Amino acid sequence: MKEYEEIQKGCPGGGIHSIFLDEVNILCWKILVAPTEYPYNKGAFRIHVDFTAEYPFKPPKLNFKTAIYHPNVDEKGQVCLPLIAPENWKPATKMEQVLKALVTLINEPEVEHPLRADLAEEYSKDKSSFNKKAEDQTAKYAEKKP
Amino acid sequence: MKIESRVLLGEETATNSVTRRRVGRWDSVDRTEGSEGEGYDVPLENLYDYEYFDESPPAEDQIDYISSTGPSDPGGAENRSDSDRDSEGTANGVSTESSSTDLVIPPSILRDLITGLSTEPEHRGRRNKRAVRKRDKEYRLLTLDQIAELPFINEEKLSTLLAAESSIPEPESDETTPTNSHPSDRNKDLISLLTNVFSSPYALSKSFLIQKANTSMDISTNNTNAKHKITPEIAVDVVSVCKSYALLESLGDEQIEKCLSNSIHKMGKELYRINRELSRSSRGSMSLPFHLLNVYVIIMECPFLATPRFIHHGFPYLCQAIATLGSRDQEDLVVWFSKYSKENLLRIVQGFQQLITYRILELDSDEYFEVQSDDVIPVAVKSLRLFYLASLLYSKNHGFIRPYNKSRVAIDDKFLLSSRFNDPIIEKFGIYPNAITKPAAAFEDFYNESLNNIIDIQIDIENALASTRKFSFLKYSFVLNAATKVLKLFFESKVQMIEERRRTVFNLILSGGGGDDHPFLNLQVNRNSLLLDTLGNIEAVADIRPEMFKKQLRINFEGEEGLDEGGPQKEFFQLLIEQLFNPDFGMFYVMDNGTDYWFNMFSFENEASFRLIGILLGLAIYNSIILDVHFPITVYRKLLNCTPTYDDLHDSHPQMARSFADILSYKGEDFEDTYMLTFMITYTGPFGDSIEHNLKEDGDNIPVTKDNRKEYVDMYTDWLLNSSIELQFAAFKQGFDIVMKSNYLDDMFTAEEVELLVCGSQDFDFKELEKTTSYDGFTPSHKLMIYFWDVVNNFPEETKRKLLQFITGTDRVPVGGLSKIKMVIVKNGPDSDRLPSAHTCFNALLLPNYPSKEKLTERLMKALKFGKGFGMI
Repeated sequence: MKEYEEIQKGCPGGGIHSIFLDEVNILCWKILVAPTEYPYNKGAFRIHVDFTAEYPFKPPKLNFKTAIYHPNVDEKGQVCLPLIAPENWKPATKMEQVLKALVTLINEPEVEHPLRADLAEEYSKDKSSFNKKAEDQTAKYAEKKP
Repeated sequence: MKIESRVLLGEETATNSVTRRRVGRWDSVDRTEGSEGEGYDVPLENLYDYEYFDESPPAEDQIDYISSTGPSDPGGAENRSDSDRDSEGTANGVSTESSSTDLVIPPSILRDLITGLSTEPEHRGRRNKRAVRKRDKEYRLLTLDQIAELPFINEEKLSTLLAAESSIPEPESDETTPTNSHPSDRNKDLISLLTNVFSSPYALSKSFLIQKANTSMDISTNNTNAKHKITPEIAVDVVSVCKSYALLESLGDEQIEKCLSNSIHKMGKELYRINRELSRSSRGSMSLPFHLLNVYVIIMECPFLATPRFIHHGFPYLCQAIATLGSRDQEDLVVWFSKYSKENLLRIVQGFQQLITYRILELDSDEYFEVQSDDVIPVAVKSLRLFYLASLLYSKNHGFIRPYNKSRVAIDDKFLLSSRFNDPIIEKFGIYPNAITKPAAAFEDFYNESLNNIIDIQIDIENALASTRKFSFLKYSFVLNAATKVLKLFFESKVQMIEERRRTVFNLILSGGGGDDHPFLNLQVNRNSLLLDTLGNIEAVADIRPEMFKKQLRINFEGEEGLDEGGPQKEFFQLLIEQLFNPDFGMFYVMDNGTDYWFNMFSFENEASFRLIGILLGLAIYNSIILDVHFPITVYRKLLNCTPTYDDLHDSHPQMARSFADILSYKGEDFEDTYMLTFMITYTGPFGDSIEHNLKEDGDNIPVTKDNRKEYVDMYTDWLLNSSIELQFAAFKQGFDIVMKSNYLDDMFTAEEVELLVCGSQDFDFKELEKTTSYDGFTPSHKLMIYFWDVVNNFPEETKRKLLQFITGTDRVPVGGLSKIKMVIVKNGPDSDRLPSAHTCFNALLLPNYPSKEKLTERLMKALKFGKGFGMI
């Protein structure tokens, strides 16, 4: 874990996110992601990365603390990211890769494996309606871009 | 061809002269033997004369000979005979145009002569079968000269012969190729050679000898990479054997199969006789002389082994021979076969299984037949043992073995039999079945279902207890499946319980009713303070008089009627387990997969609680009660004295196992940078915090590198599976051992089977239940019964579970499936408003004669909803 702190401090995000480390609990990273793509580009989203003590042997868990209108994030803020699914997880996977994959997922929703089927359907059938709602929600809940 | 016959004539004469010289009174004996196929009363003293002959000369001779006559083309044979003739100064030759036509060969040089002729004996056989048979039989009288004289066979010889055969024009056949026409006639020479070789142990033992010692070779024909060194005792060129068999098989001649079968039938008897004689002598531990063990190896490769004719004819005798081999020889065979590939071992095992199954089908019509005193099945099982051991040894040789601490606790219990059957070979090689992770042939492959269906395990227990040398399958428990072994355990427990009861009652009478001994282990508990009561009661017993656990358990819930004939104790265990395993209780936590429990290393409970769970588990097995506990299989392995290793990790910690596998297989050079691991690990503490632990001293400063990663993984695994829960598990196991004596279980049961013993199998097949249900007051065709099964079969899983709980007191399926429940449906008077009720101890359901399906459903559902507790209705 200590090593990871260094790594992440060295390269704080690919221009779109910032990372705050909890000094008390290093098992939880608090991340702020500011997507570049419409309809999420109007705000920033707070995401928690929870590690287990057994990391890197067990994958971390991602949790959206800011509500987001997105087919791959459920109401509780849980994300389905294949890279960190237990069956796919490899201890060699870097957090940097994980975060990049996360940002990509936010920008380009993956409707084939949705967590919220209704949103996925709306996304593929009525994109403008989806975009409108997503934009509204982003404006309503998301934090200001840093 | 003319030349050949002339030569043969000479040969024949030679043979006869030898025969005459040596036969004496054997002549008649041999003929009897040949015609009746029985000949055990041939005096064996003579045989002895050369059983212990100096081994080396003939063996070396033989090997030299073979290697010097390597070429398989007929030209080679010519040259050979030419040179032979030159060197010996004898006029003779085979298939050589230039050879002269003679004749009687002085016996003194016969040996050299015969060994020098590659195609000679079979022709002789054709010319005069009887002479050959005589000669064949009387070899027992003779010494190495005559062994050397025996025919033998190898690949080259076979192919030469076949090549010669196919070049012979068949006068009878017109258009058809020789191969297809009159095969029986065509392969006569071949068959007679095979008959000669395959019915004589000595002849076969010098066949297919390895050409050069110390060459490593491929055991199987095409698969496998099992290379191995030749052991001096066994020197068969198996590849060549396989090829030869394939060659024979490709002929598609039924006569060949028949002849092999008949010959091996004889061979088996011969071998048996030799073995019996060896074991009878004071030198019982002596190994077979010469390369006689080769014979077994060669025969086991025979592709016809599992054909009906063979099974009927040759195989049983072969088994008898194997079963009577000396222990040294058996050991050598085990070592030899352990070098085989998985596929080959499995093939052989299946051959034996077929034999056993076939024999059972054959005998099944006889109502009173007792499989333990059959002629065939016990020897087949004894032979199968060698391959079972080979399968275990295979695994050990490949490193598929986990540490195993056989606790050498002496077991004094008269009725616990298993520990008496310590297999010497298992002991010698340390191949305890439970320590083996991947046997070459799975344990299930050794189970014989048809055998298990007819075994009366009580007879086995009796036979094992009896001082006579009767056969008992308990000694060969690898053929027994879980259900049979469970039955065995059940009977043993019952016998012991009754014995205990008898003893105490007797004591009570003697002491005039005084004393505190009691025929049962009575536990009085209150539902509201179940855990506390039990802990108090059981602890007292465990500390003061652990032998009390051998008595039959009786539970009495305070304030409830209900004599414990099984029902209350089932519920007792159920309730207790529910409490102890509740994660809030803190002794166990639920693992990642959501169903299994693992020991909580931070448990605040003291060791006594873990010991209690161990005792409960043991008591449950002893009293044949199924529990609703979910441990990963690793826990049962540990209970059976094994120390689980990395290979076992995926059973309990699949996520960690996957990650470790990833680490171990990482190819890149940047290993350290990628993983950044040290020999210090962190784990989740009781409050979700992170706790550091050094696997090694100063582990924090030792980086994990490509070179030491295996060590790291092994240490981490050992910490996860063993050292982190050492305290808790030790207490748990101690409790279990008080009741069950794990080293008594682990001789017979695999971890999977112990799990089955504890948890039962999970298959709610109500059709099975319906099939074995009996009726009292109803008939199967009664309309209420038809309603009942209709309703029940349409229940959802959850309701079925409840019904099972209602009727049997547990919602677990017993080992062997629901059919083992043997439910009884009893008529409980005419139609009334009474609810259905049950006698859980007898698995009986009581139903009033409800008039309609609707009422039945309604009453049944109501009963299931409120059915908890015991009492009178």
